[in-house]
Amino acid sequence: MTDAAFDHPEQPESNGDARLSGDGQRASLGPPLPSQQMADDATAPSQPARNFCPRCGAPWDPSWDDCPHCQRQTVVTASNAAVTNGLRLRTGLWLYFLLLGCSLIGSLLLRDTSVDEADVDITLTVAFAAIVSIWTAGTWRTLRPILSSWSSWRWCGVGVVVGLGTFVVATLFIEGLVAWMGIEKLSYSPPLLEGGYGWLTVILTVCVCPAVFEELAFRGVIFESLRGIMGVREIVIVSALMFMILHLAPLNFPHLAIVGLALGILRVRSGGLYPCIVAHFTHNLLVILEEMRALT
Amino acid sequence: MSKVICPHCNAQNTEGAAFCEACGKAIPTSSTTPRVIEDNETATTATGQELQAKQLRQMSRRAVGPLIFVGIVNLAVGILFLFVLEGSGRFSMSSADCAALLVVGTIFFALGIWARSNPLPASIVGLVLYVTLIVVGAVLNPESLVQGIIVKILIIVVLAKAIQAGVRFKALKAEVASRALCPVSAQETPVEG
Repeated sequence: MTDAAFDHPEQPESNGDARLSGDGQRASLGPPLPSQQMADDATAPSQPARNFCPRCGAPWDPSWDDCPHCQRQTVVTASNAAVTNGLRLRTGLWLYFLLLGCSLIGSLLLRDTSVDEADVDITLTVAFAAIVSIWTAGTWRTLRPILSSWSSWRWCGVGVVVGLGTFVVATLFIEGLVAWMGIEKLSYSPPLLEGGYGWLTVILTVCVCPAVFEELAFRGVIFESLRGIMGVREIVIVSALMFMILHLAPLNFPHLAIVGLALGILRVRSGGLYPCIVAHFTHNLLVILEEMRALT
Repeated sequence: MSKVICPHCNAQNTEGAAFCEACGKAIPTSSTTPRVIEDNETATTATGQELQAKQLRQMSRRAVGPLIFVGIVNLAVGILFLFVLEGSGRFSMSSADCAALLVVGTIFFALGIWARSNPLPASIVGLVLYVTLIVVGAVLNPESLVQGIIVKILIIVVLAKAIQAGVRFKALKAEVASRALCPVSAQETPVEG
């Protein structure tokens, strides 16, 4: 079938987009649409009947209010955008650098011998918790599914086992470092006990708060900010490495990376945050119990 | 609203229409020069998208050089102080600090190797680690901040641009995949009657 309205000597230069080859598409569609006759006779500069969508070039049906092809593409693109833009990368990076600043301010304060170390520790913990809480509140819509994932409770038992495993790995590593390089082992409870605080404060400051807020930060906000721009495997690795770096102890990097990876894998497999919090709490609690045993 | 005349069938179309409503052919832009894709735009054709993806991939792979460079420098300094200048007095460094340098150098080197296949995550971790080290160094010894500041700024800029290119590359892939889910083809056209 030839159509005089479409026999033009100047064809548009193909740029590889199949949608531009209107003739090829129409030829395979069978009989022309009813509105085609109006376009054939249209010579006056008035708006012709619509035969093709002006946005995507798809053949138009007169009964349509909107093009289903563009609309579907917009919906698909929008849903992809929702996944990729759930949390932006900069949200996670800002949180990380704020927490880094918090740690560095604490390090600077600790260099001043007139400042009580226990007060600095507690202030740092409170500041850390406040920053993470603000970020969690701001990203609540994204974090709510993982925080309300009740099916992950059965994974809490797995979290206890993971916490025990990471404690064993960390202890072996640190004992090896102490034996090989003669460095002093870091203790967390003596500064707080010497500052007049009890074991309850030690457990809250060293076990509960780091478990809850570090997991909210790394396996929560930062994890979700990386989703959409990399695969799950890369997200676990990157969040583990950022967790490792924030502790600012290069000699502890290897075992911190292992802990971070274990917590990341637990986060992915369980689909929730509570097993990671339980694992982290178990790890830190075992550290404090070890210190308690050494002190008594 | 101004009208656009289709050069193929002379039909009138509304301004901004990409395809003629009468004949379905693409309406060329008024510019006679090739359409230039700006930084924040996505190419509309398959060839353009391929070229754009290739360019973004090349930009994100630029992180390999700085990461390996920083890794080698840290490793070299750590080895130098640990084995060569050990016990030489003024230029000595504790074994713990040397070990720390070696650990950091190894991590940067490993990130550089990883960046060859997966530039985006390696660049993110590399930038985070590098900025952390600079900030910590500045806090412990403020004079160290200005030492080699031009090189430090260059490395940070290259890593940041690599991350930006990597994120745009992923977004481009997602957009191309979403368009592939809804191709405009004869098979999908609901012809009635």
